[in-house]
Amino acid sequence: MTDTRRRVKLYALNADRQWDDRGTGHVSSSYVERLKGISLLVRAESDGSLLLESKIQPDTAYQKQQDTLIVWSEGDNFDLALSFQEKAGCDEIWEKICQVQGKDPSVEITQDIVEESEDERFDDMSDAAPPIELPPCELSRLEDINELIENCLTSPMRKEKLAVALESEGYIKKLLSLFRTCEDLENIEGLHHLYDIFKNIFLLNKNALFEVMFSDDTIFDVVGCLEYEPTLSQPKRHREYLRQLARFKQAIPITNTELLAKIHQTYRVQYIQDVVLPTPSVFEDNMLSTLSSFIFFNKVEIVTLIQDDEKFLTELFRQLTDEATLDSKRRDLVLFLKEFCNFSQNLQPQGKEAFYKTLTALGILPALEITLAMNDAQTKTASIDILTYIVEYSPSVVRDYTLQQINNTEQDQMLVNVIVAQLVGDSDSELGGAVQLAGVLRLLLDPENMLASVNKSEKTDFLNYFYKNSIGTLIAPLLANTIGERPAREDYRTVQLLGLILELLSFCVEHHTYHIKNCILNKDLLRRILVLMKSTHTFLVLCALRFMRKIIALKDEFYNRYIIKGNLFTPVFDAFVRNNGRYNLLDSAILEMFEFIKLEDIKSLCSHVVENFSKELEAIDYVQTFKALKLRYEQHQDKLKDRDRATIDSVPSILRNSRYRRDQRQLDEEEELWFNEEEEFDEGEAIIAQ
Amino acid sequence: MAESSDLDRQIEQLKKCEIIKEAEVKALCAKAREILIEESNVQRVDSPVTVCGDIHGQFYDLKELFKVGGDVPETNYLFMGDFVDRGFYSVETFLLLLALKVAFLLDIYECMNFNFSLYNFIVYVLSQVRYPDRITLIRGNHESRQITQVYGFYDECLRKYGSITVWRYCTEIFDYLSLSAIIDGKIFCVHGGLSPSIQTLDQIRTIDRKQEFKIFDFLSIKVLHTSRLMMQVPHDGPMCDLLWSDPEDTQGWGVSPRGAGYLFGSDVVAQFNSANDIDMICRAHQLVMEGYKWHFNETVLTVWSAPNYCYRQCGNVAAILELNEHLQRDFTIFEAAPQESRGIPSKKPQADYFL
Repeated sequence: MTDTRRRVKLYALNADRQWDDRGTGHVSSSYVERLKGISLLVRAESDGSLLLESKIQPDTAYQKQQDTLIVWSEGDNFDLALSFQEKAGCDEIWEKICQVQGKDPSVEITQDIVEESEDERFDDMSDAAPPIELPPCELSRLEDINELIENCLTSPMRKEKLAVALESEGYIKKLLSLFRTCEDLENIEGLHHLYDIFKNIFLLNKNALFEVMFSDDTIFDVVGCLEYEPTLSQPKRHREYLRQLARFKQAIPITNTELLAKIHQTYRVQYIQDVVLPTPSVFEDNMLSTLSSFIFFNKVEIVTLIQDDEKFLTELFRQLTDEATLDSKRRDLVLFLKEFCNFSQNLQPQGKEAFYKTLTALGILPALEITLAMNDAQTKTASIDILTYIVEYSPSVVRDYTLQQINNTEQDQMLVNVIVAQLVGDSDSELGGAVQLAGVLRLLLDPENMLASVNKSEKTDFLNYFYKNSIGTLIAPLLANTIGERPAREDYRTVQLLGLILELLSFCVEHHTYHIKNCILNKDLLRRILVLMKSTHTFLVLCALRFMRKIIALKDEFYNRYIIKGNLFTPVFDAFVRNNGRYNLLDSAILEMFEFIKLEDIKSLCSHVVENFSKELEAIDYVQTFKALKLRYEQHQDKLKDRDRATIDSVPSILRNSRYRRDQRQLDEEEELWFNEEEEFDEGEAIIAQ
Repeated sequence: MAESSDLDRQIEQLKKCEIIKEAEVKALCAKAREILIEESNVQRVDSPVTVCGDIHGQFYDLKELFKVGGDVPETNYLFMGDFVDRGFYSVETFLLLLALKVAFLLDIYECMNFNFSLYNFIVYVLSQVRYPDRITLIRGNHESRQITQVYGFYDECLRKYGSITVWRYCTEIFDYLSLSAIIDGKIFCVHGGLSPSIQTLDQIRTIDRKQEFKIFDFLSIKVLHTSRLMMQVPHDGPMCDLLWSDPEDTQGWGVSPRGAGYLFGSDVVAQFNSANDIDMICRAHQLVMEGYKWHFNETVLTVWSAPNYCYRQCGNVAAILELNEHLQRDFTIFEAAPQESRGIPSKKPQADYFL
């Protein structure tokens, strides 16, 4: 019964004033600590996730309609509705809302101000209250005007009426003409009033007023008004910035005048939002929502207009890939593309898909192969940004492209290899580009985002390619630095880069079981990495340790035998001994590793550690880890003895254990196949050591 | 000498609530990392010390705190996390605290004119019976990449620096912050509270704290961004518990409505305190209108140091706990600093535009 009584559909009003279905679930009301109040909660029927968590504010106008519908606004521009399956459930929640607001549940609206859709509000108003009468727009009345506007801000209905008055009387233009007069006369008091007036007009949140204020002939005066903030001794010089410092650059000349005007307007309005207006605190967030929408829709329009102009983009890509193009020109072209991608973030999903399809068809990826490798820092950085946009949108696009390239491209010109080469070759000591490229690579290598791919072999083929042709470059700096007993180079850039590579490799260990295993075992990579345990940079020591910890986490007996045969705990214990019992991050991280072996009862590693490092272990009495490890070991030995007595030809413990483990593991079929085909490590001869 | 005077200049700048350069943040974080990496998961602190709760980027209120509590290094401070998010000055707040910490060690280092490296000096200092460390910072649940992307610090860095590089430096440092502290072996300080997987302080030693704890899955963060609806994916693990749990008037353990950490009752506390021979647990994490609040017969204390929290909406006062060398307690209550005179710094405009 309760099941259907509280069953609701949640709706939200979208930008086109249509109700969007936000899901079906069950509604409840309870105190939410985070919101510090009784709140309405809707949990999705499908997965129990939270669809709605909305505090019942004391002054929100909730409205009950047609017995089963509750409607309200969260802020100025976010309307929500709960549609109940049953009247009884609707009544219960309604009572709760009324109780919180101290109202009698017999009402249909909990507050006087009706927050209906905008149009209805308009109709209402003519009857409910008299229209706002603005004082004549004169210098002497500025103070009154300011006061009137300020007073209107408190009530949504008066805000509406004020907006109508300002619009219908052409009042904004009159105010701006007063502004010019004030500035001529250096009438500071008047200018301060005008600042307040215009700041408050922004808070009215009305698109119709913005249309007036942001047109070519008014926008500079509006910005001018906002320069005279009363608390400042000197006015800010925003107009000077916009007129003289801001520079519009045309990578490819734009001929469409409407488009040009939109571009300028958007830049200036964005400037107003970002720089001129005092940042609203979060609870005023909705106050400027119309301004954000204004910019949003402008950007969508700009992207669309450019995308529709076929000649423009074709020419852009032609110049971008033309060898004869000057470097400075190419830089501008790349910077343009970066902004273009940035603007496209505003598109709806279908629009975005079309956008990236267009760019791909025009050859953005081959173009990036060239620009990523350019020496100019700005070009390179912008190219990395563009690549990031694309990969964040769809890693498959780049993977598919790579696979198509395989048979017709030189290795070092393949996009994925360019990425790796740029990563390890980043000469900047901050490694800003390398960090970003590592993020790109991680997305490309993440099996999680390969699942949805249509192309079934994408995962296998891409990973096969990467591990065959790209990983070598990626680990080259690691190998180069770990030839001897200690790290060869310890300068800041090198250690940062090695840390970055280790992080990526740790990710691979976690996500690509067999490819990376092959690589680690064949290249004896863990031994090399553990040379870094001797680095003087403790953070790098920790990175190396963490890499080993990721391997141990897999509980894979192939790895375990590799570790045991290679005696790879030795560098760890050496570092532990060097640390001399100090309670620091390294101490904790090493202890945690053995704590894990103990908790997970990894018998092979446990035996190895206890049998080979008992001297080091005995000294450690400040935690129970090693005592417990030894106990585990002894129990295990006892059990073995018992069993030895029972069976004559028993299998060695490690092998038995490994079989058990392998059966337990849930390899997907594909992987299992691979294993069977390419298993190189026979039980007996396991690993290339030393 | 140069390093120390550079840092002093940066501190002066930060004290005026002005950001320092990106390269300076990088250098500061590199130094801080060297120090923090040598700290323990339960950092030893000696009395007398002043214990502070959440700050949440309320820079001008932090200055008020120093006004009522005394300056660094004259007063020894322990901050229990949540330096960032919510307030408008998370960058300045966190960097100032970090710079004060680094500067103190660096000053001694340079004065003593030792013949060994800064690294060895840090090791040496931390091995002393009484630390000269005058400002201890432990990690709060907001010191996280995920949380800061939703509650303001990420956007603030992007706004003030025009890129997320500084956010990256800072969040990297978060991973190195210690998890808890113990004052004179008697008062255990932690941001949130206890964990069912931890009965003794020794067990905290075996946590590898350098990790980003994940509270929400990636998808829900996206949802959070777009619709501001919360979808929490509970996460377990002792480290997460220390930063997220809350005391609750019950017995035993309960499920936390936060979706991370646990609720712990009075019996849990009694057992923990007796097993570890401590007198009380001091924590932050929850807004309390009076600035501090006792639980369970004065065995757990909540300290809150962000007055009029959450964009000046909550109307609460803030508190700090001053402990003298005999661990006698004295609470100082303070209110929000006068309305911030400076507006919120605006975004750096981009001069060239193509679109």
